[in-house]
Amino acid sequence: MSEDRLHSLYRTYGPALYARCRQILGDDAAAADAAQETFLRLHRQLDRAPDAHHALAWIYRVATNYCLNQARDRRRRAVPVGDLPETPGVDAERLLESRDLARRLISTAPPKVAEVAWLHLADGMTQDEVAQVLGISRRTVVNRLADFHRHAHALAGRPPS
Amino acid sequence: MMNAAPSHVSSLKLDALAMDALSPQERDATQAHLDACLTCRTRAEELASHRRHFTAYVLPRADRLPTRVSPWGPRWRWWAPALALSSAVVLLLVLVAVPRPPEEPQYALKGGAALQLFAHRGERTWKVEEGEALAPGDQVRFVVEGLGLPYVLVVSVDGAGQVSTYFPFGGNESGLLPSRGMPLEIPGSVVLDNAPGPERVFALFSRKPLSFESVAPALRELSSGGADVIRDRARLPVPAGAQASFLFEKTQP
Repeated sequence: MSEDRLHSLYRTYGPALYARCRQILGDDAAAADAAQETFLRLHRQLDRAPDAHHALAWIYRVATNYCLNQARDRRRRAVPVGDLPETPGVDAERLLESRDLARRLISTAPPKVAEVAWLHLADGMTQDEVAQVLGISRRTVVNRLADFHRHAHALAGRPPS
Repeated sequence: MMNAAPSHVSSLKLDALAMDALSPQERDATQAHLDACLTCRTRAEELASHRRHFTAYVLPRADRLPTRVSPWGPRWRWWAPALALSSAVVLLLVLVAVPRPPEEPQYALKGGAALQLFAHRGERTWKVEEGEALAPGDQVRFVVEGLGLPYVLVVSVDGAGQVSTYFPFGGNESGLLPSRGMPLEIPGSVVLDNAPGPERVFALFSRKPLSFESVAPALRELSSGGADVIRDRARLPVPAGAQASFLFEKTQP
């Protein structure tokens, strides 16, 4: 791939890629790093994508996974679990409106559970959309959301209702 | 109690709207929802704000990258533990055509196994070209891509007869790649020493770990041939599923 083509792809998809990373990581510099890293991983898929919608699906799939891993690593290194809200409030409306709450709660979940939870609860995707973006069945989405539900309530120290 | 996702517009759809990637019907429906929903208008503005930030502050720095987009961000993560290597280093793309592994990795990339080197000196970072001369003190990092093969061993030999293992650094056998089929930045960097002459680096990809001892004889045999043999020989006769190599020259201080 020529350098011009590479930069053209970055100009086209970089803004959406950066926005995706910024939403999950909550930090400009970390998002800039993550955008470049994931672009390096994605540029061939973006080059072959038949349209922008397919390209966005790739961006959501790869960048969500990468950034949640980054968020999890940062939490492991520096942020005590004790800073979670006393009541996790696995409330889709709250997670949709509060990136910070979503980040603190969802990034503590196991990786495969976290990416499903983020796409559905923090991004507002339907279960079918999540299944399509991640290339998994809707049943798997449902199961992982149930796992996340249990995880969140375990953090709150109370059983799921 | 976990609620079902509310009937809002997803972030994916908001991004698609901004990129004019929705059908006319979807576009009109999404726009109508935005007109009526403060939550989604706020989220759409948040995304737009992030995109503007990228265009204003992140993209211009990427344009300064000399070739491919580097895996390092604008803060150049050189503070990462620089492995103080005595030997010099590496890099770039090489391509050894190998059969694709039977099982398709999730994000498989077409093409050959690859090894890339990015060097850093002062304020400058660049992709190293095959055969390029690097200076003592230059810091280099590796990016490898192994066609979905899960293990890689990165080794080198130089004109002074030094044989090194760069990944896992100082290790006895291949390391497991955390992601299959995607370019991977190897953690840490190496600092070039001042021993002049050629150095050839090999990235050896495999399904099962390769021990350093199993490849060391081939490296030593290459080393014994002298500088010209190191410059000319781009493959090691070892049981790797795929391999890539890169040659650079270490200059006098």
